[in-house]
Amino acid sequence: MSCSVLDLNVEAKDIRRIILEMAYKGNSGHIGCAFSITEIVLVLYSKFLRLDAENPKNVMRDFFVLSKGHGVMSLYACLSELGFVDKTHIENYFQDGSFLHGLGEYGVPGIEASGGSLGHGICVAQGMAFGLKRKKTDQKVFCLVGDGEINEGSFWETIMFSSHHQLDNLIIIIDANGYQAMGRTKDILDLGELPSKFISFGFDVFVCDGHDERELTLSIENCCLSKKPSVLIAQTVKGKGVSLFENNNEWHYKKMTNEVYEKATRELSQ
Amino acid sequence: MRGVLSEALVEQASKDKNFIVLSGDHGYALFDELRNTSPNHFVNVGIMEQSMVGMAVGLVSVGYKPVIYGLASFVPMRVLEQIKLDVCFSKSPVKIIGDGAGVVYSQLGNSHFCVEDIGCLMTLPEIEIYTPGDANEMRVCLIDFFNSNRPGYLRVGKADNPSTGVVPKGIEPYFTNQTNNSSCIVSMGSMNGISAKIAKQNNLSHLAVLKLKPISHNVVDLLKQFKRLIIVEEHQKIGGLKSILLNEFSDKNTNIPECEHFCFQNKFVHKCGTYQYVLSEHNLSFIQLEQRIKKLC
Repeated sequence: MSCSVLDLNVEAKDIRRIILEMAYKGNSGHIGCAFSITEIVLVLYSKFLRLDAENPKNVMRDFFVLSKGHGVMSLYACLSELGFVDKTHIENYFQDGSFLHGLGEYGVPGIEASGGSLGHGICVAQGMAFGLKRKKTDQKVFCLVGDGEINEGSFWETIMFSSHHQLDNLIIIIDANGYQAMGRTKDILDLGELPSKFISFGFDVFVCDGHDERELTLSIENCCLSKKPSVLIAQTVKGKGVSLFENNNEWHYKKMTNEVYEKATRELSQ
Repeated sequence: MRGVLSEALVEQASKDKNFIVLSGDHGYALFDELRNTSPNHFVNVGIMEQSMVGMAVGLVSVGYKPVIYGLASFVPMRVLEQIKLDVCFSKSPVKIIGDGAGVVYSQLGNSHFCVEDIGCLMTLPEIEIYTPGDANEMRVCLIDFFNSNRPGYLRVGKADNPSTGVVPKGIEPYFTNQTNNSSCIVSMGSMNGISAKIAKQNNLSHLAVLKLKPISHNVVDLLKQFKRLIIVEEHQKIGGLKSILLNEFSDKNTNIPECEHFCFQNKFVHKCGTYQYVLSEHNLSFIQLEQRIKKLC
């Protein structure tokens, strides 16, 4: 069966509601990470990724690698809406003997590489893009990394290789929410102006509002048209969508009380 | 031994369009023939071992059969976590070749020594481990290594050490010498040839082991008849051949024979010297081995 963009009739708020339910019932952290990438993941699945609804392993598919596995609840929500992941797994999140871990792991239908250890998924994505380019297919590989994750040396190894081999089928999206686990990226390991860094490595660089679906769509289209490897710096807000979580790095770790859950639910219902 | 490896890579490339060898800027003459005959099947990715491991897994995802090559102190040692999570967890049949294992690069120093690799990899699920010691053993190991659909590690040690002089019939452990003596030398990889020689000199049996993980089911049956095992390996005391054998005896509820262990001690070598000199720092030079084992007889 051929691959095509699948029908994903949900809005970002719907995805965030699913994430909120998962995090509350499972008593999990990483809410801020999942909320910051919601629109990016949604746009990729609703506009770009050519997949086979019947066979997640169809060899002709496009690939999406969530290298920043910490945001995986967003991905689970989309995969469940697409029917790749059974909704009972969403309901049973973090229960003993359940299927889905708190960091994306290979083996879940639709998850192409394990992303819990940072700087790994991007290397796997690079291998996919390199192989597909050698096979001269038009398949694309999208890889979502965090702006904290790019502290990892393996990320920059990949940037060098992708540039040298002109992997124009590799589209790297950086979730630039300005935070990593223990604080602000600029305070911990300031990488300065990211666009100039990638340009100097030979990449095409695009920047957009990572929560504006129209801007994301246009920018990813531009990445797909580029004849060079490309990077999209998606400027996002960690915890986007619930005012209590936004730009509050505690929600990288914290678990919701009943009161917080109710407030967040009300806000996402407006 | 390296010639056999080179020929095998050329053969794999000639029969499978998806076969690809990645090197982290190591290997020099080993890949000359492959690069001459099948240049599209070889990629020097640059000095980036971490990324190379993930790249190989990505290549598997899109239909390739990758080999990754490096010096053993870097592949697998430097990239152990990548091998665990990216290769082993996904059961990707990435074939890993670690060259110069042991203290082959004796005069270059500790950065290039690798006597911990087996101990580290033994703890990881899914991966298979091979330790050929001469050209014949390499030939046998490569058949199993490339035919298996699981991740594999081929440990390539000192290439010009003596051969056992016996051609193994298969991947199972094999005796190079069998006597009525109650002691048996058991060895792996680079120590197989010298162990075979010492066994003959002292009228001892000698069992050479080629595949360490999973180790042959019959290794205990082959060894339980002996009162004493003399285990020789170019590896750390912990995690190598002796540990594997003791686990097998224990798992099979079989009485463990008395063991003499000739191996690397848990210490670094701070002085520079030849291969035999570095071995001698751990009482493992071939002369020392001959003397120490003779004393036991």
